[in-house]
Amino acid sequence: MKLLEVEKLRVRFETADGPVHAVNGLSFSLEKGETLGIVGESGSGKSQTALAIMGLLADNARLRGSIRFRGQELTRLKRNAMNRIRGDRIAMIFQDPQSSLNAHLTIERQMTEVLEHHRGMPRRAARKRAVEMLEAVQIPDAARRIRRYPHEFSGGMRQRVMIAMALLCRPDLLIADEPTTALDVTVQAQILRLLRDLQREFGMAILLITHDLGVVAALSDRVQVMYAGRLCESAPADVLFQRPLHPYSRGLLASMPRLDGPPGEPLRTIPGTPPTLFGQPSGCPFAPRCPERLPRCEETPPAPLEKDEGHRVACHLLEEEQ
Amino acid sequence: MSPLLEVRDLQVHFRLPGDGWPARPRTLRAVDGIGFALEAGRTLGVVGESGCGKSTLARAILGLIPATAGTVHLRGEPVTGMERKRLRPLRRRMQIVFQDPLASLDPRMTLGEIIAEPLLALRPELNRKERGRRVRRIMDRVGLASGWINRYPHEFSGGQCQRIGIARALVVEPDLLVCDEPVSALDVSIQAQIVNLLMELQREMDLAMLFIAHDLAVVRQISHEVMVVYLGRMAELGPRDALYRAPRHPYSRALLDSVPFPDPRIERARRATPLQGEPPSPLDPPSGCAFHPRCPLARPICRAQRPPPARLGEGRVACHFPLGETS
Amino acid sequence: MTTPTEGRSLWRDALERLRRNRAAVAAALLLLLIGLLVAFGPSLSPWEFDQIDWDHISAPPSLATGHWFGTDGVGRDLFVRTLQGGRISLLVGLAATLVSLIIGIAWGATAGYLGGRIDGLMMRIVDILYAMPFMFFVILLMVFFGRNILLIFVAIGAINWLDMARIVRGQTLVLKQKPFIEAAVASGSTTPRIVARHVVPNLLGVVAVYVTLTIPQVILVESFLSFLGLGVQEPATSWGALVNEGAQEMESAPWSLLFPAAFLAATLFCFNFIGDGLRDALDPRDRR
Repeated sequence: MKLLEVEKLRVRFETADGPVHAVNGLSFSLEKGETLGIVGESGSGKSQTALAIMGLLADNARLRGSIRFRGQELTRLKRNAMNRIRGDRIAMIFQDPQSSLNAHLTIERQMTEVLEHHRGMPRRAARKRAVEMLEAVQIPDAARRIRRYPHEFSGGMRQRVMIAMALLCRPDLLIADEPTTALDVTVQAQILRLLRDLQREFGMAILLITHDLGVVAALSDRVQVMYAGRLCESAPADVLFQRPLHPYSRGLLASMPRLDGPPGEPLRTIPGTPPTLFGQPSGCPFAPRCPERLPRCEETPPAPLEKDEGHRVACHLLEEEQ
Repeated sequence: MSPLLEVRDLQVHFRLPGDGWPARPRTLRAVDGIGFALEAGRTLGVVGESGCGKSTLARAILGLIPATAGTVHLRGEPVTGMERKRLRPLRRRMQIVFQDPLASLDPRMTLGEIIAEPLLALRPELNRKERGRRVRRIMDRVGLASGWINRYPHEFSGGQCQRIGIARALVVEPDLLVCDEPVSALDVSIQAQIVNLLMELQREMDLAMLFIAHDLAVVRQISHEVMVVYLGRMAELGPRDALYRAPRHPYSRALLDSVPFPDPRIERARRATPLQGEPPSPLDPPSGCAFHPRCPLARPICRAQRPPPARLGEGRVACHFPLGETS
Repeated sequence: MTTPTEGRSLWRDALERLRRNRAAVAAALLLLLIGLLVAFGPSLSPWEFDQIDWDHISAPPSLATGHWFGTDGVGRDLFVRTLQGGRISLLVGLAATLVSLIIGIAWGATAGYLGGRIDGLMMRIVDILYAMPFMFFVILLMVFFGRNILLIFVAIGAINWLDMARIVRGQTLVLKQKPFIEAAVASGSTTPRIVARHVVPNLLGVVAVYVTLTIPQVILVESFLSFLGLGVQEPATSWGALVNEGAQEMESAPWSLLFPAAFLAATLFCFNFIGDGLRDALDPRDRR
């Protein structure tokens, strides 16, 4: 049984200006202990996918499809049942630690609260576990620092605290939404290394959401590329970076300046701008910008096909070759 | 022949209200002794992490913030120490593109009005027809459709807003263009478009560019020379290829090693431990060399004495024990 | 050659959102109705506002007598007097607000943008003026210059600008931090131009909301003055004066209180609803 199975997920927001289709029929799965990197630019729907799994979508969101976690259907759960899972079996860390840590409570209080709530631990045992976790994320002098308030920590430290809080109950799945985007590059390197070490130690699966292809390469076993709420390509990390098949994946990789690329040369670009998500386009959402589009691409959206072992692509061009 | 832009030992300090009782005023040394020269048609990339003062540097060079010490000269004319009014004619020669594309545009003005504003202020002798012509010409040059001239900023995407910002900066045909993180807020596929655009425009208009960013790969793509800044001080400055291939300052090395590579095989093979600690606060700089608390090669002198920038190869390094030199 | 297309300005967006707010639209329509009545209503009636009908003193409203709102204790038609009073009240409200708007924006934007010692000085002046007893000054002005309508609204406006100045200054401080202001400096624009072209237009949203909440405030102040007997001079009247008179006749002729009070209350409600609607409409400024 796979740890997480998402099937034909659709997320639509009802706004005053009409419906916004954030996620459009996304299907994927995650094994225990695996790291899946979800890559996309703004409007790709990657963050909304994470929020849908956590049951944290905004009030005006309409969700369709299925999200099965350890065999249990999450979309039909009542709020209390979801609250029990959230923080305990599935945890999430965000881009901005400042807004997910309560500025008015000490770190100790925030962490012990999680353990008291989910595990019914008495305060003393909870405190001990919290300190252990802070040490696991390499916060020096954890026993004393735990009494401090969030603003007394630096950005990188706060991110570590957030990770520690997320892992308190040893969740099966950790969702990380742009966890290093707001950090300096040297601090980012530390956090990525930390996540890798923690995964080895605790064995949780990680759903890593980011726009940074370098971060994805550093941490993921498998990579999934999204565009305008749809899956473009999904493959093992090595395969995706070596042999990308979807024109968008290829374009994205080509347009990134690389430290080993030719400097001073113009970069290969993807023309046009990312789509607005109002109204459902007919056909492939990438078609307007695709240098290799066929007439068919503008009429019907391509369905994901399994090209090789574990390599799925949603593109009409590849159907031709079949 | 003096260079187009000459910065000498620039210092920008901010005096902050005191801490504790009796209140001791604190000084924030945002820029703490930076110097370089820039010629027309060349790009100097400035990289550094948060708190390194690169944004303050940009603003001080343009005279948007007063400098505490040191000098900035554009085409031989002083920028530092001038009051706003006297500085105005010089603004024709130097412009800036900002980090947040949408926020740098007045939401209540149309595209045409936004782009025309520098012309109104700095080239008052032009009549309306001439202004209109120049606005349309620069719009075309940066890839903005002429039909958009009456639209408002919020109707455009991030990349298009940045094009508007670039058009506004270049409509007066300056000699120097300062870019303060111009692509950090943009999607990767749009970043590439804007980087290409800036490179083209530089070639066409023979612009001197100061390109400030934290993304090392982007800086490498567009720069001829690169300066690495740490806590308001220059760590290393040199030609792009030399610096990226063989950095001399331990911080430059650590920075380059931290950048995650879009290739899982290379990433997996990486053994080096990341740099410890975090960038210090400019309010409370470490003694001596600012990098010594985090530097794996630090020795006692590093804590005691601030290393002066010294010529090394084709560039300059501020380090007591630069890499690649036998001690 | 593509024809230039009109942009969709933020004002238009806000107007769209406002249009969808039913309470605000209803309030705006009601206000429009009151405005039209106040402007053209008196010409519908056969009576003048100071004309005394000796046959109908303190008469109840009736269609037959032509006194649709009844008459007051002196025999004057209440319909015409209520609407006439409305003219004065609304005029004072709008004019005084306009005065406070102009002074307040100029003062607040300048203090906020220039900052430093000038800001400190200008706002200390506001603080000092704020501390002074308003009523005392108005009474003093009335005593020296008589009960002049012009004087009344200049007096009220001159007091109200203090609040406006504070609000404008606060908003200016926020705006000053925005990158587009810095961009304007880099573009070489002079300070007066920046304040006029960039700061003030971006303030107008907040100011508009505040104005719709100031107008009722000012009308109430005028009513209060009239209630005290310091407002407009007889035979001219305002809603406040009418309410004052009506309150005295409350037991015997309740209509003489009811109608002016209803108009006053309705107008105040309308402005408040519109103000709330405006605030909601202007709030999501970014359409992203």
